[in-house]
Amino acid sequence: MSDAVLVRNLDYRAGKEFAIRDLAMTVPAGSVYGFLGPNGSGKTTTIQLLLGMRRADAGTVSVLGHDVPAGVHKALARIGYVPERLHLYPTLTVEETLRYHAAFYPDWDTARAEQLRREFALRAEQAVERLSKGEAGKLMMLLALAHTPELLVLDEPTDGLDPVVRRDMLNALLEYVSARHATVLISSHLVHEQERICDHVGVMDDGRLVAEMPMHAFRSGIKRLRITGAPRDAGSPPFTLLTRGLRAGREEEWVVRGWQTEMHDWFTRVGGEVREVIDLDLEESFVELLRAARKSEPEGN
Amino acid sequence: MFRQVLYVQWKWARLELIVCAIAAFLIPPVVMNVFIGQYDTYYTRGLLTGSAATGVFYVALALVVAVTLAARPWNADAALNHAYALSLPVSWSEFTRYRFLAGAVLLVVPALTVWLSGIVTAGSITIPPTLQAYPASLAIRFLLMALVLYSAVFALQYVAGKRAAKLGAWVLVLLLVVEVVVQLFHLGDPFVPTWKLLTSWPGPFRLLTARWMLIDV
Repeated sequence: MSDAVLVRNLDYRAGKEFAIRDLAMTVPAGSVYGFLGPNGSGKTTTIQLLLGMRRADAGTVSVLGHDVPAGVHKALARIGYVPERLHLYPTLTVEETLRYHAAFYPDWDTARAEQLRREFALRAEQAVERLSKGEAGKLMMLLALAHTPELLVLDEPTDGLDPVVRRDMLNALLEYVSARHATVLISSHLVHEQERICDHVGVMDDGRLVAEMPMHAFRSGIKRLRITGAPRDAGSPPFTLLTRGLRAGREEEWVVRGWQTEMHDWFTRVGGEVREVIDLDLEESFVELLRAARKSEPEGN
Repeated sequence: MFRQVLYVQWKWARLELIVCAIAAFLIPPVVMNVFIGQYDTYYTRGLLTGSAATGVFYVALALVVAVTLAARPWNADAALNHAYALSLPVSWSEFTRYRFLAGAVLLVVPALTVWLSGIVTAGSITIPPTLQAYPASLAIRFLLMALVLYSAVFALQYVAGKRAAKLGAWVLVLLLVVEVVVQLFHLGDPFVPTWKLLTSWPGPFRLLTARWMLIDV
């Protein structure tokens, strides 16, 4: 199995305002896939569709080789899921929650769960409703890790947590991934955090996956160019032109994807000159991609 | 898995269940003593009237137990938009089956109390030779009635959602009130056709209108 998650032609409509349209997504097995996008872009909805918590209107979804929704329960037994919001019964204690959760997972590792509980400093007798936000996040991470899943699906797992808790959770995650070679699908709008841990990235905006590529391509392939003498009509350049804007005088600023050094020649051929090539960090690349995607969005969509 | 589901549902409903169990235990002695006292000179009549009144209270109690046991787990899941239940590696039908069975098992707690209370009450009063005590059949009727009502409320909730469950619960309460009014004021047969359909054989709520007598001929 080469892909942990494979989505094709997925359509889903929720009310009049929001829709996921023709979504294609591939999460390679063993990868740490950063699922980026602004709030409300459809990341959580997509994750819920992957886990069979919502029914798609059209398209195919395969998770760990199981078709969703038909085989989703077999897939869920091999998935560790941390939702965006606490989804546990508030009146149960930590210990009761662990026992309840463990009963549903044949591969539950009690010793590992206890070890994580101690590492995360969670008191067994503490009621879930009395946990702080950080403790609740840790408990959900514990539940996701203790049944030794092959795929971890984490929906904004560190959102709103303090840096210490965030570090603890990410350390536990990375430790697990390196020991088990598990696949991780981690959704977030914290771009810098994703940059640190992900090797693949998908960018979602307004219900569409606007880019999907290995992290190194994302990091190195998007550049800001300062150009003079650029032709009015760019024709068919050997890169993808994301945005184009006028600077002072005749100078223009282009943001391009798929840039390589030898592409200087193309500008020379069309009568222009590249004055400067500026590397963008992940956050800038992310913003430029979204800007380009929104510009290319047809009216009325 | 079932053990954990049962434990969690017990934890959610235990307070109400204990209160209902205490009520189930106290209803026969209290009601019987009140009616025997009222009909001092007609002891047998007092016994039978008290026994019939006990049955009416038990119908109400069965409804309370049923609604509590069906509503508690549903409310807990609905408060989380069912997200936790749906993220577990079991099908929705399997999950609801466990939920239903756990609630059904918990119905045994008040039913056992009804049985014990019947034995204690029957043992503490003098029963004329023409009459008999039926603590076991009263407890079985209570259990069956509670199970029927529980199933109805549970099915409404898990099939039709929270709004339908509330509506169904109100309909049941209304039907119960009608029955209590009919019984207390001796209005003869129930006057609502639907009610009649539901509560006469083979209607699902036949047990509601049957004679629930701890002591009878």
